[in-house]
Amino acid sequence: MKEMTTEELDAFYRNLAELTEKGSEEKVRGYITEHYDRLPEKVQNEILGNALLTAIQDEVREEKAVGEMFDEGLAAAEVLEKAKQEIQQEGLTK
Amino acid sequence: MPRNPREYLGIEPKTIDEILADKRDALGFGETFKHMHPGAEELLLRYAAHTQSQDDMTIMNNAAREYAYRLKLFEDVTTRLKPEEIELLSRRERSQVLSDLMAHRKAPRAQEMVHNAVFHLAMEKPELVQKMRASFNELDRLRAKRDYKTLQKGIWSLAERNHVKVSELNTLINTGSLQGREESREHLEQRIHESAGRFRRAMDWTRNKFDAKRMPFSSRNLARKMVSQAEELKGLPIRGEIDSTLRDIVSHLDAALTNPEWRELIAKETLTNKNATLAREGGPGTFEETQQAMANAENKPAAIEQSVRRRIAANPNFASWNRAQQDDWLRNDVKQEEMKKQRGAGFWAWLASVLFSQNVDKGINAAAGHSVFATA
Repeated sequence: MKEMTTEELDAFYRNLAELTEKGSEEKVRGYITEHYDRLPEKVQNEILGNALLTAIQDEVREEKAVGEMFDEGLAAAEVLEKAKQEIQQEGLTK
Repeated sequence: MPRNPREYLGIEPKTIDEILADKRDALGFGETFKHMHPGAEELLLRYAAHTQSQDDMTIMNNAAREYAYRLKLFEDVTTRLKPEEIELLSRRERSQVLSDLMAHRKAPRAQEMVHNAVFHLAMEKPELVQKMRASFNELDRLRAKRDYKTLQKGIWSLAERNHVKVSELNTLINTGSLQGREESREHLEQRIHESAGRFRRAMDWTRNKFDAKRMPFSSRNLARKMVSQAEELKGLPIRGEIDSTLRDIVSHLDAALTNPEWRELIAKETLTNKNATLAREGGPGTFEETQQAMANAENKPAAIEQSVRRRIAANPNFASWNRAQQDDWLRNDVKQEEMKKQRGAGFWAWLASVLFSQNVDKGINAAAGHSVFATA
């Protein structure tokens, strides 16, 4: 696919600025995706690389959240296990 | 900034001749060299003509060492970026941006695109690829920790005490998909419920009677809150995805936690205390943050113009330079300094940086009184 000329690239960035100011995330994403294949390779690499990094970092964040919930759940389970034992010792589950 | 020599440890650079003999290496080395050294092209011409000086060779050997480092970055990251990992990262619920870009591009084309991008970024923006590698290492560490803890903390023994056979546990628990997790939860709850009846009645009784302070565990505060706040949390809305993951965890652990009120308490503790503190790296992390950054008056051309005027006024040599020298300083040194105000990595930070760059160009042109940047 034919790469953008300098003037077309400038227009791309101007439109992107306007969409960011007045549009929505969906419109910005759609605009970039629509013109991606005609962007200079360097710009394509930057977009793809940064999008990839964001996705990896979000994966790390979710894993951290799950890990912390897991720790809380384990701690809670230990507490409840202890409570269960104490209640049973006091003969409350007859 | 020169790299810490320790970062080169264990990386064996190729010789210049070896690099230039390989097409891919020559391309990558060329990108790295040009990025590192302004006179790279002239130096390479001297090398080709065998007229290079000893200083030239020192510069080239340093560049070869740096190239080897960046190539290692590329290899470390792309080893992780197998088709299934790329597909995982490109899920719409994970990354809509990546999903959009990968749409209609299946493996191996998607993998080729991604690897190509990582290669060029490793050569020109190694710090970005360093962050990718660090994030993958962190992901591995977190997953290993959870798997290790699962075994160490005795999830199997807890499952056994709740009448779920250890031999069945791995087949019962499937967290690989949303549907799998739901089915796992249902199977486990059904299995545990049979013996949970008496204990549940006991826990209901403990809400009024049990003194949580007697518990010796560090989670005593959580237990105390559980008792006192359980009634407050009826009907608390919980995000589906977190609750689904939480259901996996609690369903694996103990019969009593099948009580929805207790589960909601844990979720509330988690959502308010943990997720809220997961900070993003520098720079905008969402579209909205990018919008806000660009709407900030400090980032508009007028403010940048004033900043550039101050820099010009503070430069004692500026007035004595000719137009070309002034423009060179503005185009390179000043722009570089102004761009430091918009840092960060990731897609939305990239967008903010690109848009901010446009404003910097306009600000510099306004301060200079002519077009330093032709198209701003």
